[in-house]
Amino acid sequence: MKSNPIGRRKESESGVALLIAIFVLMLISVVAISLMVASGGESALAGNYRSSASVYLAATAGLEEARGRMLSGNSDYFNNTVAGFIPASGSLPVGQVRYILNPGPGEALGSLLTTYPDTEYATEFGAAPLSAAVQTIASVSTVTSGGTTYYGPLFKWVRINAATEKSLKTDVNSDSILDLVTPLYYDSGHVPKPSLVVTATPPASANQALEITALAILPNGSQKTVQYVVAPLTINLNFPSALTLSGKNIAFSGANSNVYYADGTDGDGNPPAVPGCTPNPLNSLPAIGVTEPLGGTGNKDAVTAGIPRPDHYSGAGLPTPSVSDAITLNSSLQTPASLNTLVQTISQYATIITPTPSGGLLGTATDSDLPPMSATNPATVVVDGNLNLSSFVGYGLLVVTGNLAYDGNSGWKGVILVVGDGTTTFTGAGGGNQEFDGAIFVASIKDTSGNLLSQLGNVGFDISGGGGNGVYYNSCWIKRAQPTLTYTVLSFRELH
Amino acid sequence: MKRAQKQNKETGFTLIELMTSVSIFIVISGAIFGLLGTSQKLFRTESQLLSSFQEARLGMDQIVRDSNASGYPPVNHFSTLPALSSSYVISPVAWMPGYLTPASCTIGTAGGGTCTTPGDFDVIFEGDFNDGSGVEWIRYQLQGTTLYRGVALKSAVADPVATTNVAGVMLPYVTNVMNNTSSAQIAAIRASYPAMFPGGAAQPIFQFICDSGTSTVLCQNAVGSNSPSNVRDIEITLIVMSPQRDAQTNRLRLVELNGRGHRNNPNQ
Repeated sequence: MKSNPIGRRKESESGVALLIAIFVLMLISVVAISLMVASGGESALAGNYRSSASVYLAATAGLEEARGRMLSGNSDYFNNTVAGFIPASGSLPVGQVRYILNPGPGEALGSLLTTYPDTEYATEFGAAPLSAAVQTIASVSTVTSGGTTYYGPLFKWVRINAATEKSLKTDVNSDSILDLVTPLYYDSGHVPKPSLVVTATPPASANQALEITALAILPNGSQKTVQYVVAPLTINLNFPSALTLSGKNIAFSGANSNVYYADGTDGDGNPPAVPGCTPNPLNSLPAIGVTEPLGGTGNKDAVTAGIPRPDHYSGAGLPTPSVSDAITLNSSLQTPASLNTLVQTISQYATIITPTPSGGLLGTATDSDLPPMSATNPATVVVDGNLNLSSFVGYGLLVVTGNLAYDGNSGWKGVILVVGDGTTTFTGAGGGNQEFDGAIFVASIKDTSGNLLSQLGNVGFDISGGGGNGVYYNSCWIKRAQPTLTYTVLSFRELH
Repeated sequence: MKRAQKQNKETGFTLIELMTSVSIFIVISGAIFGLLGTSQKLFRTESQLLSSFQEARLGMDQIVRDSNASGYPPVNHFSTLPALSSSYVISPVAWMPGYLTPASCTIGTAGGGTCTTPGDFDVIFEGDFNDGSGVEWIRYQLQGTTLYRGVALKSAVADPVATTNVAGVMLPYVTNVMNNTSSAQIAAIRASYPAMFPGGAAQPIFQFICDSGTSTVLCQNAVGSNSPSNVRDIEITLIVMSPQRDAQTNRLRLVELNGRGHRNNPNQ
């Protein structure tokens, strides 16, 4: 009985502590939740901003990988990994599609285009590409080293294909028709301004415009599709004649051979074909062009006097021999300084620079110093010194900073620039039936000590020992010989 | 029973006990409420600062994106230009005066150039921003302390300023932008933030960087190439002030955001 009241009181108070505890807990929870909600909203906003910026950057990284890997000078050049991935002529027929695939963690290369389908292509061209026309290559942005894989930018795929009016939804020639089948070319010689042109037969000053499209998707689902239209930029050399000699005094001694011709009509002779390019015979230039820095007609007269068979020198509708001193040189061919800059530029993109300079003296390179080359695989060769060719047929762009001599059955398809020291000479003692297709330019830019001249020096051209079948102007080979310096971005847009 | 009754009477609290516990309770809850009040005030000013910051950041992001995407389709996409200039882009950055006549102005700063726009506080981007509308003008203009944004279809016959000045086009976008505030306000801000407003002058929102030979320089320093069509990059600086001062120190609260827009499309 004594403890009863206390027992009762204890019983009646026993629920209060629980109630108070629950109440306090609720209070704290409400405060905590409201704080979480407030800060949660902030971090979501910050996260959205961050992912929109990173998905944009990831997609543009994809565009840049494609743009860089189309350059043959790049060690990751597409064709170094998959032969013929980008056709050697630098152009892709409409309908042909190339993809760079960049699977992320846990994704397979083979199923990437199924997981992240390219619906954009059908939007642009009206239908998905034929599977036979699709080639894929792996991205180089993901690197595996020491058993660990390091993932690069999170783009999924990059597509490279020919651009058409329809795919760009742009009426390039303002004819009110969006052409679906004709590829677009970027014509640097278009008047009044360089622009895209719709043509199946592009002029020599045009290169095909390609469309590069990249899709990036982040793990949180943010996605972005961006697109470039690019076109190759070359040094854009052009020549006023099949053989151009520029200098103060020109010594000329032509070939006696009855099979030797110098011909300024585009595509004459027997040149190998250049894919996607047809020479235009209406484009006829002088066989030989000379400059007259001292005034008068001294150089023209010297060349004319040195020609044994005048009727073998034709072009530009001139009376034979077709020799002209009324020529206009490309600005980069005009002065020793501009030619020197040109040689430096070409050297940066050369397949090979030979021979290795030794003790500051000009060495002499021979056939064995030159890289393998063919009509489908032309090279850019810079010979820093003299070059002696012996029964060698080359393809591409050849720069010689000394003298060039050849014998035997030698020839070249493309451009030869001989820009040497003192009196630069081009000497031939050849036989056989090879020929030079493209253009040849000879000038002296340095004195015998190697100092840059203020004006072009003297030039010697002597093929009295034999010149093979001759020199033929060829706009296609001139274009084909020039390396692509970069792919210029003609336009950029965000698609989604 | 007596003892039990006595015990029952003693179960209550004495006055002293009650007063002691109540005063302890008051002191503790006073401290708690005081702290709560201060943190609530702090929370309010901080979240205002954050929302100003957030608004400015979103604004900055949009300006950078509009700048990056401007200029499509460029003139180089047409072998024959369309009859109406509203179908293509003349320049990623539009200008006035002289837009409709073939004359360009020069970009200066603080009234140094001949352009009204682009200027320190006004820019108009031109391009097809892929929203299905075709080529548009997007204008950012600071009026007082509010940055306005307006989008209008490009017109072949009207200039970009007149087109975007039509009532209802320009809408408030970022508020409390202090870049061009009064010199007294700038002095007050510099007391708390000495690094802001270098030299005590108004801080341009847009600074234009032009191509100059092989390098790039601020357009006002680029002799002969300081026209809107040569703009390559745009440096963007947004200084935004929180509507309320700091709850504890009573200082002004500002944030300065820097961004850079890069023109991807060719300029002609």
